[in-house]
Amino acid sequence: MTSDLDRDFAVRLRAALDGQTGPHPVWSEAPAARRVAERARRTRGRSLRLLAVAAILLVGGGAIGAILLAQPRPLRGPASNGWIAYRGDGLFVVREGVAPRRIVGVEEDVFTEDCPAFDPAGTRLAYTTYDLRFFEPTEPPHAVPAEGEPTPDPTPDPTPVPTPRLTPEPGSHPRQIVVGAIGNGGRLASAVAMLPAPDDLAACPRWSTDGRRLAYATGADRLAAVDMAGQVSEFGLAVRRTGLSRHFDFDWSPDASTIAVADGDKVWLVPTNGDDARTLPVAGAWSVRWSPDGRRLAVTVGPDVLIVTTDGSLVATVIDRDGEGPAPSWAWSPDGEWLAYVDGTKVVRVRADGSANDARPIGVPEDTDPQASLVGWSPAGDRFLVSAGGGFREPVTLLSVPVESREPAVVLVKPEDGYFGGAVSWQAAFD
Amino acid sequence: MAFRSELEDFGAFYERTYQAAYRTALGIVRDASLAADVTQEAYVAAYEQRDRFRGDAPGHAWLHRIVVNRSLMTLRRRRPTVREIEHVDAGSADGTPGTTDRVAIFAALDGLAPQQRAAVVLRYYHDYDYTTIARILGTTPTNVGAILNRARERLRVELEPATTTSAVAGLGR
Repeated sequence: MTSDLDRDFAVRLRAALDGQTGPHPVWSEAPAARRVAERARRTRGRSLRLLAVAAILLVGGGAIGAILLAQPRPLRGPASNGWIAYRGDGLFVVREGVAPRRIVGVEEDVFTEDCPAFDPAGTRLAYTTYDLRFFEPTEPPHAVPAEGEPTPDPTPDPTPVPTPRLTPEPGSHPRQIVVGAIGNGGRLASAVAMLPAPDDLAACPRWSTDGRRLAYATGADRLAAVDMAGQVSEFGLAVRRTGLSRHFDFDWSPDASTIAVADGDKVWLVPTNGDDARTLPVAGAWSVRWSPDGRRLAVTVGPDVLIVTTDGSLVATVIDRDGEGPAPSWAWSPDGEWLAYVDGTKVVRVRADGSANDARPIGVPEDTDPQASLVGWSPAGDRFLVSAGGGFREPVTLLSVPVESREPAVVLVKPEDGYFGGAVSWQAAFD
Repeated sequence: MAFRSELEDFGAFYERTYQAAYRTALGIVRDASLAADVTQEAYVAAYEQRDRFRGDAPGHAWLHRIVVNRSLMTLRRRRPTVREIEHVDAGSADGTPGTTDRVAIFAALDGLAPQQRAAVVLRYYHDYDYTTIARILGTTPTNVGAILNRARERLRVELEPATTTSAVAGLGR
């Protein structure tokens, strides 16, 4: 429910904006009306547009027919830290020593990409595309070839390159999930799958731990998983809705047999074999993540984070804020021994049984806004990924912070690199 | 569908929705002249695509998607510039509480990233729910929550010195 103080801000914002008046309130005086009249005189051939759309569909259909159903590579040995993917104006990858490079999208195009997610084997990247022409189809369809030439690594190179993106039919389906195989330099070398996604996606798709499926949730209370061939499995769930938001957070169990769901109220454990879901006695659950060994769950409840067993028994309250403020962002360590979160300008590690904690300064650069939050833990477990900043003049900075040593943080993404927050994924690399 | 007829008289639709559309653009691009241009571009696009309007949502919500997309695209083309003076109408800096608050609100909006401003305007000016905002911004409601959380943190910092603590300190969901 919206708080009184939210309402107070809304009243002030409305008063501020309602005090501003635009210059052309009458249609007959509007520049838009003149432009509409001029364009109408030009009588652009609608048939040409349809022809272009048909050509795109033909190209898209051919490419879809050539989809490679790549299988995930089995995991071998401990992971090392690969590329970090994030959303800017398009999708970018970055790693220590290599400047950010765009791997999907070009400036000012008509697609919004989001939710980059490397698969558990680190060989594929999934992301969502959103076609703005679905609502605003004024620009010619934009198709990018499905093959990109591999380039030597590592060489900082911000030049846009061809990416495996296909163009959905305007007006039919605005959102898709794209899966691409990772090539040299973190770039997408080939398309693996183009999967339909619901318009009302409620949370970013998440890879199953066996790398075979992507689960997603919709605003219509649906939980589903789609495999690389586009086969969709639906899971039954009766989620409570407050009406304010379609909140939905979920996570696959390590053995891929169960999906845990936090809907802002309950924690659901949903078997992926079609059996009935059950709930845990945890009220007000906002986010949930399985421990790497699958025996425990970390759950955000209000400003606190609890560790519970799979039958809902409380193990420990690992982040306890006495009911004050929002919960910090947090993450499991890859070995499941720790959770980490940011407190001011420090990263705090807490043992998952609540027995001990330690803290280390982040070392945010002096010219960076010290508003920091934890984005993730590296696959090798030796680095934290921390974001800082976020204002118009100071967009978000991404920092890699050593877990054990007191060495300074490494700036991966500078304010001018165009990251404004949101989903980030760190690739696990295996020899 | 229920709302298709809203666009049949496009001139009336324009006049009924114009100021809210302009204020939406102004809240995001934070420049009156640019906001006017963006608004006009949005109406040109809306006019040309009116046949594609499915009418399953109110016409103004459909229009706001176009305005927001246009605003964000426009800002992407422009590199961030340092604003030399805050946006205040020349004749309105009279020191009254309302004017002072408006200046504070606009200055706070200036401190947000464009996508955050869009989310804040859609949430607090238009009162859209997270699902609708997610559709407009092309992201998920969860990400909308994250964007708004970050925006609220920033607004709290920006607005705190200029107002009573109680007015902003508890900005929440």
